[in-house]
Amino acid sequence: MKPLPLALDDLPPFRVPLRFFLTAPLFGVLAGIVVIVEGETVFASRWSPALIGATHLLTLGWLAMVMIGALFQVVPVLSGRGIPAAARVAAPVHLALTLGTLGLAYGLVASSPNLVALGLGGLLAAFLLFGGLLAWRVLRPSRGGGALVTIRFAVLALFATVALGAWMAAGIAWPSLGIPYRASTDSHARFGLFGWVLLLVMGVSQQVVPMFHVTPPFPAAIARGCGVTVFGGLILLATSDARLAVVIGASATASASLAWAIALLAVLAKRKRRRTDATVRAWQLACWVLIGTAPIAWQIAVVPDLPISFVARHQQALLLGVLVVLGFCVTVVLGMLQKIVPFLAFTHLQRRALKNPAAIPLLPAMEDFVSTRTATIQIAIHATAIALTIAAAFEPAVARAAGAALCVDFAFCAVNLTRAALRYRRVVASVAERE
Amino acid sequence: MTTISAFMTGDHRACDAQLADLESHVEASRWPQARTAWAAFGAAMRCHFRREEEILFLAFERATGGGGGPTYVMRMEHEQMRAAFGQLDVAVRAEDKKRVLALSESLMVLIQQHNMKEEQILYPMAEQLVEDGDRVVGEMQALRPESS
Amino acid sequence: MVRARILDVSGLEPPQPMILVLELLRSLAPDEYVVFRHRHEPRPLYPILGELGFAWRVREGRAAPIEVVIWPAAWDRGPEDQQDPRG
Repeated sequence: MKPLPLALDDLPPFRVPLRFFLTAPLFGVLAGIVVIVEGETVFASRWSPALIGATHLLTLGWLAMVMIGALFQVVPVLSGRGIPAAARVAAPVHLALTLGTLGLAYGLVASSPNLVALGLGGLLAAFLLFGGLLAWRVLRPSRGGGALVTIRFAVLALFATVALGAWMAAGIAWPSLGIPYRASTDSHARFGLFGWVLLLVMGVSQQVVPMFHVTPPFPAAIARGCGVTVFGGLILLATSDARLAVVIGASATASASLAWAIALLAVLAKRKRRRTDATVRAWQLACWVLIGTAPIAWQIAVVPDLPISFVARHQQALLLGVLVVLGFCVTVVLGMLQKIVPFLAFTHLQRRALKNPAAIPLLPAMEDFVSTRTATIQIAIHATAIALTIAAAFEPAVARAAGAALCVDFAFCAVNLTRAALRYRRVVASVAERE
Repeated sequence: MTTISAFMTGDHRACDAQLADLESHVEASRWPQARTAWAAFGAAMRCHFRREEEILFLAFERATGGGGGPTYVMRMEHEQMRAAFGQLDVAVRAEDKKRVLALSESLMVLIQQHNMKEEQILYPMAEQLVEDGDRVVGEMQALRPESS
Repeated sequence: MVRARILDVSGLEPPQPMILVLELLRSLAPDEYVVFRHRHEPRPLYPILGELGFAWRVREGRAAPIEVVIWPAAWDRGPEDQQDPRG
């Protein structure tokens, strides 16, 4: 793997990503509340309105929210140039994403076409504004290693996800159009979860894991090959119903996911830094979930009527959704957030204090913003929430307990990140006094 | 003869591994080993900084026709890390486990950000612009960590 | 890994050198810098480089009398140039 030249000094102001990071856990809490309020009906079927609403609170309100915030941070670093007008665009993107997600999710839960239409408007505004800026930076031709190539596929998958999602939301908002929106559900979910999220995670992990955990680099074949293989498989699945296309597409996506998860576990097992680290735990948890998920996803696509399947057919899609969304995607993002927020707080403070070297010893360390202990507890709570939600997919009676666990999970995250942000503000104020 | 990039990147990885060693011993409260690891890491870092500040950066500045620029920023970041070493030294002597682990996590971040800039920008440029690269590597190799 | 793009204009008449170097700078990838070989110092170029966000150093050339090494100014941005984190 050849990492890209990183212009780490091109950091946008902390408030740019922070507003996204602080809002995201609130959407997770909302998802938990929906599950508590709607109870058993949530897991009655994959088409239950409450389930679709709660899922979008997590995918848009948590995943997209954090990932967009992080991209404001990461893209200037990866591409060596800033996102144009990042600081000015962040606030409107954040507002549109927040209102759009609330509108869409509530519209789905309450089956209100008008609210879905409103949500669609907000989300399209957010994605067009941000996506336009991002694409201009990331898709610009430049030589790049495996990471940037993989991230490019992720952005293409995001476009596909948003386009399909908008098409489906339009079908719900204006039934008279007669859009057969359910037919696009699988493609929409696959591009969003295995395309956008998984590909982005693949691209980012091969950069940050070797660096911060002092591991050997990813095997070159995995670093370069996994992204292309997953993306190729998704395109095949989305464009053809032919038996051969389904078998090849599903096999490509599942095997590349497995290969990446196994490679990441192997790389982490060889890490030189053996100290307890919550982010490492989160990576490992997510990898194991993915290793469990890939064969199930493959089986559902290729041999859905497998007689020995231990999961009843109507539960297959439910289980797969819980595993991928909550078990894999939410876990990775939660784990990275435990590092990103203290990391940025620390880095911004160090930069400020360089003008005034006497202040350096007074600055908090990264651990002072979110301690290893707190972050480890967070991952443990999250693992419990995953287990309860998987149980609820089999036994809807557990639904309310799962909802409560989700609330605790994300509320704990919200409190810790807010405390970190407040601490940052106090330190900035005290450094400013000294100047 | 090894190249500037290869030699100095190897130096970075060796220092990273020594910091990881320190962390493992501290987390397990093996203080005698932790003190040894801390001394070894400190010596390796000081040697690395001298290789850069006294040899490589000077050669780079001669080759580009002036100081300032990338080497100026790198020297400033070295000062920032030296300040962190001072704090860590106090914590290791006090056998303050929580404090050592907190400081080393932050130090690791400073080091990795700094290394990335050197490995991606400064070393390749030096390799391409400095004419007597072999002599520079030779001089740097001859400079050894002081034994403690 | 950054890579040098070499441009030798020591045999060219004005305004070709200026046209060629600006064209090269426009097409520069984020991981590239320029070694500009010239018969004499291209002084009119320097203010333009500053405006385009490049830093440069001039050295006695090996393959030509003068070599100007040009790289993105972001590569040596120091902490004192950082934006205020409070925005």
